[in-house]
Amino acid sequence: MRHSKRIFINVLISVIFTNTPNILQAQENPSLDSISISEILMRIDQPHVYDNKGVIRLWVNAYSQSNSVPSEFSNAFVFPEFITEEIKSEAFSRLKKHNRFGGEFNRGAELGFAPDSSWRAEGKQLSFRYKNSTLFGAAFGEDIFKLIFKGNKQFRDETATLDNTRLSSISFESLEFGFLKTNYNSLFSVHLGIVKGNALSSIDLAQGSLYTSPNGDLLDIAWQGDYTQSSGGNRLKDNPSIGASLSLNFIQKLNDKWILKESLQDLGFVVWNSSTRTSKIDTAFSFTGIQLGSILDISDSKIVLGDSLENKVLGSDIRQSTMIALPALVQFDVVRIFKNRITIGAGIQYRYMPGFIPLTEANISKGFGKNRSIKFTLAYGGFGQIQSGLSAVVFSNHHHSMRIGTIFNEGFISPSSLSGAGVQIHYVHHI
Amino acid sequence: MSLSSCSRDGITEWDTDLLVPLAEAHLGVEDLIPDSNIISDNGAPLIIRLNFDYNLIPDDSLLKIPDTLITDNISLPVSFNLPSGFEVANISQLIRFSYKDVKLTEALLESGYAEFSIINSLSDKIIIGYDIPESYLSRQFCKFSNQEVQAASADGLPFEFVKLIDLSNHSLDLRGDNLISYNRMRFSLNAMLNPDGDGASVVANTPFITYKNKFFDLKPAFARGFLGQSSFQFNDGSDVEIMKKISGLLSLEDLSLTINLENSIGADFNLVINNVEAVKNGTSISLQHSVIGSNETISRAQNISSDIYPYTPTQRTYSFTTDNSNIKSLAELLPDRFNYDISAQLNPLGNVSSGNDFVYSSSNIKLNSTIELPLKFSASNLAFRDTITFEGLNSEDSELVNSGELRLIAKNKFPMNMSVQLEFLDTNKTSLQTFFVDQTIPAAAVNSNLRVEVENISTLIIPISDVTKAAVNDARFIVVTARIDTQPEDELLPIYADYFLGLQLIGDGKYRIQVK
Repeated sequence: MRHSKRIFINVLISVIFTNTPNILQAQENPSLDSISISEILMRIDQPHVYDNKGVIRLWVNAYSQSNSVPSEFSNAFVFPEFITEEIKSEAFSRLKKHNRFGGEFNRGAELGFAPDSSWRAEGKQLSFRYKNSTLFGAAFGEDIFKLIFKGNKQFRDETATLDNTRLSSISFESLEFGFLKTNYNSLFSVHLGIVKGNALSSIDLAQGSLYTSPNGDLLDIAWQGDYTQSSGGNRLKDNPSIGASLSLNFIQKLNDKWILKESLQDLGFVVWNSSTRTSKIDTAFSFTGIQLGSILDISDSKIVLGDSLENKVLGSDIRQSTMIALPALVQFDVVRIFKNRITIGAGIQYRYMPGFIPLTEANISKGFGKNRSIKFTLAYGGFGQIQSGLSAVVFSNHHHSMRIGTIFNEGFISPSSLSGAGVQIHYVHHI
Repeated sequence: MSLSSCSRDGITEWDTDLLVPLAEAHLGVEDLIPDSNIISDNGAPLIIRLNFDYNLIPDDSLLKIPDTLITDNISLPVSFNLPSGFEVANISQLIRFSYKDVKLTEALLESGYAEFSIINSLSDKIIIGYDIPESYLSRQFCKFSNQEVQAASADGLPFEFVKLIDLSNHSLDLRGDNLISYNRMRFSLNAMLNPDGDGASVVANTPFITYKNKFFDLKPAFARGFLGQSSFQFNDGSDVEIMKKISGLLSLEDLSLTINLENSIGADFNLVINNVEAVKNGTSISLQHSVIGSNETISRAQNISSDIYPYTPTQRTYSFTTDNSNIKSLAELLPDRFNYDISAQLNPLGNVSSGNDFVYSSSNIKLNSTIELPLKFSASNLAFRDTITFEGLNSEDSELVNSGELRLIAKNKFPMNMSVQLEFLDTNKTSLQTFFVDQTIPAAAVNSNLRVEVENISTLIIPISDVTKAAVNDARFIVVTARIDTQPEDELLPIYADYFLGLQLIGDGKYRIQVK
């Protein structure tokens, strides 16, 4: 894993800088108002191309982020492996009173096209796109993390506090139809989609505690919260979980120096199917073991501890259809355009997931001619703390263009002690 | 045990240190013996009272009317053309029911059937009438008349007519024609050739009418007469399976047995208990009591209603105590088999009631025995041993249990040392491992009044190892051996209602969690 990250970063750097002399020689220094919105976006965002018959876009990005849990720890879930005591100890040493952890894995494909020359002339396109997203987020205290990963024995004669634990994991895919309008100074797009929910797990534990007696003969458990779980339904014709989504994107070049970006993604809902398990938990009980009715009648008896305790802890769930909002993402950015194809931007974004706090971001980009650019980002918030990102458009011509890079990349550098690691790849093929 | 730190493909794993109560059980006297069998007066030692009821005479061996079938043919010695309206049958026949030496004169049927069938081989229909004059229901005799029976078919195939008569709640007069006989009942049949037909021809010595009269499933609710002098011999033995699993030395303070014999038959009953013997591992002790070998006659019940019964039974009671018998010695043997030799006879003096014996469907010689055992005893190496089948644990589950131990916390308020040894056997009954070897749950201490005031708390430990897990996974049988020894030794100790044994199993070890 570590080798692959370093190789990735080396490739990224070499792709940018091995071509830099030629780029510098080729670059022009046009007046600012002559720069199209498309070219600026190529530097600061996706490698958009709108003035053609159409495009095919492919993208994938993934990251995990935390304000406390090191990347090495979270990597054990992404690339399954045994979590050693050393990895756990490092994580425990970094735990805070309020911890956050989360991540995303998004991939998709889009076909955008202008049906005829008049649409092309007016900068309009129709769009069909498929997106598949898996997101998870958690907000939790120190004790529950230790309880899960080290067990309850450490809390002998103590009470582990489990209050304010929220965890959500959602996987969904959407098929969207959209309209895009662009001109030299602005870009607007809207997409409406049908969403299919694939999996959902959500725990919201407002209050919770676990007391373990000194010799282990008693557990005092108290829970108050909600629990929802659904597998979504595998086939569309077989009791699927269906919903709808809306995505908006607006970019405006205010003048020759400033650009404003507003984006709203995945505003919508999924009606999870009738097999969805929901439970409102409000229980407090002392557990001293499964009560055996008669130890004199033990033939053919079978003890199932897990089920019994699970029933007590989770209570009796009900299965019913449940509507739950999608984890929408809202984003605002301001970009200042400077000479020499340099831009400096600032933005804020928020994802509706547990553990996600507003993510503020500052970035700087540098274009190398019209075909390449590099962008460096500093950010604070999200699921983590201070993070950085480095990405580049490694080529952009009349046939295709591509941006690759890292996001939240501290974990690439020191996964055992720092959190946050992610990659992004965005490819556009011109029709 | 140390699990490899290598993760399986696609699984994220980590170890946790768990300290969890797994199971809990409470064992009191009431768990051993149903509440209804325990006498518990305030603060006094417990007494066990056990009741057994038994009918000495097997069902259907006393009150029974056997199934009976009568069949006959009608034919003529010469060929003949029968004219229309010819009376082809006029039969009146006695049916005799016979069972042992029983001579019944009267019966009220709870249920039963008469099935009458007639086969007509004539070329014309016949008209029949059937009557059982001694069988009646609410003064209505059992009969039918003017029943047409079709002619044989053109190709000579006879026609069969069948009539099923429900005799439930019918009264039967079984005294015969002269009213002084028994087990007899008459029925009559008449048949006439179609008076509006053309007659029919018969062939010499060839049956043209065949009839059957069948009585079956007759179950009397009441019968009167002479019930005979049936003898019953009970010379057998019965195993007490649970006692085969118990061994050791037991000393009781006291034990009593009360046997009550109730005769609800309207006939005298004679009983001789020749021998009752307790057997354990080849050792036997015969019961000694004045009733053994003596001729005991239980006089007949009265045909006068009492309580819910239409009769008044007679009773005889026998008491077996430590003073008049050796019953305590029999119990202390912990017998796993009782042999008995008992003979009995109905009406030992013959028909002394002049045919006025009676019996109801609920009548029998009922034996009611009551054992009263004060729970005050001493036990030495008193052991219960049994083998139970076991499915084993899911090996995937047990693999997740890493190093550690199981702790059994015992709270014992019985004044006896207890040990439970579990021997795990594989499918071939080869021993895999034995748990709790030489581990004892110590007795609670008694005070000067031989009473326990405070329970004794102790801990037994089972270390978890690869061998342990393999044994539990592979086991298909578990030999359970439980032993108790009262403390102090050789002291008769009373058992009180608040005595109990509380067990709690606690798991303390590393458990591997897996996330796929």
